[in-house]
Amino acid sequence: MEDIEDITKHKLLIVEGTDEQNFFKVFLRHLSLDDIQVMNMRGKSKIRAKLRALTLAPNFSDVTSLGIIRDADDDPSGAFQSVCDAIRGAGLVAPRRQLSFTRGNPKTGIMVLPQPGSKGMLEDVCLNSINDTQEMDCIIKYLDCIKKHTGTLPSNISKSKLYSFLATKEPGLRLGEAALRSVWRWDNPAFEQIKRFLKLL
Amino acid sequence: MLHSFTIENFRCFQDFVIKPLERINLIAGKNNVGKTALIEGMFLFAGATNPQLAMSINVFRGIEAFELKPELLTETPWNSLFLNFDENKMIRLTGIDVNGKSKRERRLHMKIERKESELVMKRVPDREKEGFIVSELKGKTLELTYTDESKKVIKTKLIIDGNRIRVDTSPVPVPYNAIFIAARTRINAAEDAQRYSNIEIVGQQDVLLDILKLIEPKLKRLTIVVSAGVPMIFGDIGLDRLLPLPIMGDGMARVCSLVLAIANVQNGIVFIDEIENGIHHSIMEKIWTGIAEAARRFNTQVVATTHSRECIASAYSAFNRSERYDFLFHRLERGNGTIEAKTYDKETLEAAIETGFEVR
Repeated sequence: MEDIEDITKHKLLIVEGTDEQNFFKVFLRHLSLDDIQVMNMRGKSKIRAKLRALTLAPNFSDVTSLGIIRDADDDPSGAFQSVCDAIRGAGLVAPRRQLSFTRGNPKTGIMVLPQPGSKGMLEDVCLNSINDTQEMDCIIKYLDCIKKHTGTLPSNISKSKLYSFLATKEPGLRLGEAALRSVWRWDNPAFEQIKRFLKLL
Repeated sequence: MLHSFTIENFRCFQDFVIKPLERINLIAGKNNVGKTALIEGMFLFAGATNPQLAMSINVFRGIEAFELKPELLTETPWNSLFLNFDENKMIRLTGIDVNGKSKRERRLHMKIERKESELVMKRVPDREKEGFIVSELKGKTLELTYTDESKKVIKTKLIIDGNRIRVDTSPVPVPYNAIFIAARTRINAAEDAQRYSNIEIVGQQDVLLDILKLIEPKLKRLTIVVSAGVPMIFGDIGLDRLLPLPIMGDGMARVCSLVLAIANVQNGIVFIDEIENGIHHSIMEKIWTGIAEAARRFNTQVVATTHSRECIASAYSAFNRSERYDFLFHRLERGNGTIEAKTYDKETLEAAIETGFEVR
């Protein structure tokens, strides 16, 4: 039997998975936004039914603010539209654009990562935050060396760079675990847009 | 089959509707939110022309005796049926069933009838200096008015008469045959044997056997054995003797009891309070499969309550695998002084279970 997640706060931030949940919990703690509960949708699929299940859950009637963060992947506008459709399907008012909240009850807001209009994911935001590090210089040289000797590179170069960076801290480290180990420098401008969204919640 | 049900001023419900209902319905919610009260209201409605059910539902809750005290005018055996014990408000129970394109609405109204002329005034000389007047309960009546789908009205009454309760009714059929299996009721072997005999008379006993085989594949046949003067269902699992069903496990006896109830109210409704009682979660899915098969076979509707997430997940799983998803899960929630039913369709319940969102 899976862990049961009960609504315990008036503000909810909905994310895609456990790793994202850990990441944003630490981020919110850093911002001293303790009145926001991060809930895990366990994947992108069936988001319409999952949001509907959330609105039927005990204590949802006490929720005043609902923020949803998801990855754009290859289709930034499709990702935004699918979340809007899911919000409407759950009987709530959807925002017209990203990074702003409706006036409904609960108010709703959406942010598609890495930033509105761009393809990519949370990993890209994190990667932007470490681009200027010494480790990243070494990783770029390492990947250049691989390409020179094998003629190939991984299909998702951003992810390869990021997880190579995290492996310098601990092999197998994931984004959320890295947040728990204070790897991310929250004051880096790469996190600024997310920070503004979370403060609007 | 009930498609929707509305309650006004009954137990904890001021104004409540549950809609839609399916063949099998499972109700959850926090303690004291009204799960048992809801199925009690539906049970009263199902047997709307039988006023004694107004007493029976208190017995199901363990209130088996009531002292009639003439000096306590406010206390009646049925005041707990009324919202906030306020007998001035009328209880209204309305059920709609849908058969193809036609809708049939039936109503049961319950009120206290207080005609001044029926009250007996009596002087009690020793209580106060000048004595005082009390009204005896004689004549205080619970009046039940049932209106059927053709608007025909049938009135029945429970009348307090001295220290006893008189039933004023005429033999008319109830809207729905119904059985209420209370949370605290132990399995009654003799009653189950009687119900088994009822289905054997019409040659339907193999339906029960097939369903019990889901739990005990070695089961070959069932029969009634009278032991110490009490009839009991025994089963043959290939040993050199028959075994009483409860010896094969609580799950066997429980599912047998549930299926027999379903089979005995063909075209009616079975209400089961705390369906998970006495059943290990590992066989819950099989039990739901059995209940579904029996309910479809006998065209019986089932409304059950539960506190168990495992029971809810098992029901989802059983119906998801089944030939038809004729199941709905409803969660009762109290908020702003009212109680609401939140109904989960298949996709929503699946999503709630997958994500781990609370559903109880």
